[in-house]
Amino acid sequence: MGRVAAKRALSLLNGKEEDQIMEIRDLTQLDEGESGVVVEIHGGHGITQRLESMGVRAGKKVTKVSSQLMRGPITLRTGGCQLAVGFGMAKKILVKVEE
Amino acid sequence: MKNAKANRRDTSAKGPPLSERPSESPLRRILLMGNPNVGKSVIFSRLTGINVIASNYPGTTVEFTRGHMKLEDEVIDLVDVPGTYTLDPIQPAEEVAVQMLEQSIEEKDSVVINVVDATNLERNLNLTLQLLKKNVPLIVALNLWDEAQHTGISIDTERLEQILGVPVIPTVAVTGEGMKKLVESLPDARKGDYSFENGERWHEVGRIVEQVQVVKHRHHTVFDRLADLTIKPITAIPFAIVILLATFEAVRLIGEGLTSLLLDPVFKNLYLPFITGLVEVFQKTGLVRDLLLGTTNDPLGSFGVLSAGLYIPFIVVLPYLFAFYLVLSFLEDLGYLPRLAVLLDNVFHRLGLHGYSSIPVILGLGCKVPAMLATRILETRREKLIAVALILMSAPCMPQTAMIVSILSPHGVKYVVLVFGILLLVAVVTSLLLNRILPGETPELLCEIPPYRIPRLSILLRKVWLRLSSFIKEAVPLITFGIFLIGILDTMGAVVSVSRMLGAPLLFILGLPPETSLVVVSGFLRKDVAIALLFPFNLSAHQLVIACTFLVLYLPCISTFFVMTQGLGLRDSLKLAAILLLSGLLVGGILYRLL
Repeated sequence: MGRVAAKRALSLLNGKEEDQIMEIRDLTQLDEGESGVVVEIHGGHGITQRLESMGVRAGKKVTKVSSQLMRGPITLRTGGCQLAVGFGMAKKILVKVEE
Repeated sequence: MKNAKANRRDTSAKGPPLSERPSESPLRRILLMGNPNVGKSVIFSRLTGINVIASNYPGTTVEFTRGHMKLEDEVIDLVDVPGTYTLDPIQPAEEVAVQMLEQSIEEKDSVVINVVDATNLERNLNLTLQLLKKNVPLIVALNLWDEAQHTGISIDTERLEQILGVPVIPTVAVTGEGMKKLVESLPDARKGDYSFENGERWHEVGRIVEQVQVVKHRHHTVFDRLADLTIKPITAIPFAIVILLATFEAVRLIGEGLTSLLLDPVFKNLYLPFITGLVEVFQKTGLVRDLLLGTTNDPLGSFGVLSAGLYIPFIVVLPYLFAFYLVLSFLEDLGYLPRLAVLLDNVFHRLGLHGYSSIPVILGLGCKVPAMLATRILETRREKLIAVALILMSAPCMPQTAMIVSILSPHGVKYVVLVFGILLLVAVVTSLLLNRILPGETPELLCEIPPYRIPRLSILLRKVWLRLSSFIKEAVPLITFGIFLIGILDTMGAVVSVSRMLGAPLLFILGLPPETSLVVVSGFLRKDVAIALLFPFNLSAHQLVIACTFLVLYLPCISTFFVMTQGLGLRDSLKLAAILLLSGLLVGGILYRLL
């Protein structure tokens, strides 16, 4: 049996729903319009603090608005506002995408 | 600061306001604190009557502003503290804010008005809680109240007041609603009684928000979708190009219109005859007269303090400056500039600059003077230097551009393209080099993109006036003084002899006839005129390309130079000027050998 099939079989046996499989990606990997909940900010103290003070922290829902050409900044919506985050920084924001 | 009267006002304890207890010092200062873009500066200007810039793009309010207001016949200091998201100092603006706060806490004579963005309660309350922890008398002004209503957000201000233990006043600063109540509540400012663990702060914020805020779900409106179009590259880039072109046209029209229809005629037909007559009453000829009025009829032909010295800042520069500030402030208040910064950020990052340096550079395409002033928004010195180099080299200012086009297009459009292409190349190479050589790094972009807002005319005009008046107060005296200095040198014959000395080197390095040296020297005053002065020389197309490129690069015009020294200091400005001159000679020299 393939691994995926085995996993499925197991979860069916356990009675769990299949679509509880959640994906964790970083902000640059999200599609435009996709939302997710921030899991972790994979950076040092400075970056984490900066992002936190702007409202991006674990547990917050963010929606990706756009990305720019050639690794430009990512725009996202969170809480009541829009933010622009540099590419390098966006790569450090890990988000749980709900299927 | 004025000495307080015997009637002390107790602003620190909870309890009846205006009590007679002489426990704490009287109220002497009010600090306005809050996130960037929440309307602090608008509240400030409403309280003080002193006009203040309230800008949208990040970094501009790092220079804080002071004013006074009257509160029941006491004069109180009002300080607009740089916008901060947190009191944990991460960026220079925040460090400044914290220092100012600490100082006030020590002196025990201040009240803080915490301006909170009602459309962003959660993020703003973070700072509020930090302020409460600092135990300083506080009032919360819940600004942008109208916008919150429009977006379906309703906040129970009484409940919030209960929870925090400080007065909470909803305000709409741009219209003035709530301002009266805000001022009336000042005596009620209290230290608040909300206690919490610092580590749990975000949790607490969430708890509070849950209790006081209700958001009606809003579907994406047409306007939201349109707004998104201005930032998604496919649609945003063409849109940006259209906006930029429209900006230039608008500025050109307004600037030229003002100059030719109003300012030039007034200066030449009214002022000049008047001042000439006046001076000649005392001195019909002689050194003093020449220093004051110059030696030619045309104000630009010589260096008279009262003629060229005033003509250049007020007739040459000011109209374009006014036009620029008008359009720039409009785009700012609208909210477009941060989006533009995002679009251009990665291009600029490779050059060692931030997205928001795109604004000064773009300004520089019209006139270098406002571009120099705009570099103030850049945080690090390193960025300022690279930005200034880029501004000065990448393209000529608009009057110059017009001249270059008119002198070169008869020979073929390709020569025009050649000149601009070379300039761009030089600028990029220089920035890349500077980026390597100068120590330090450019921080990554992280900024808020405010929602689009319809600019209000009165606030717009106040902004423009404030910027213009700071130019008039700061830059104009320098420019006029500079012209005076050159005038003195001129009377000593220095200008003519310098031109003669330059003749031979010019021929050797650039292949230009020695007579053009006078043009080169006078180009310092007004660069487009210098290019115009090339017409009678009947130079070949190649010579013109060399001459135009050289004249754009070799030195900034006098107004630009003096504004530069203001921002960067004399030493660095001279160094940059030297780099410019060298690059001009180098590029011109290379072109001469190549073409």
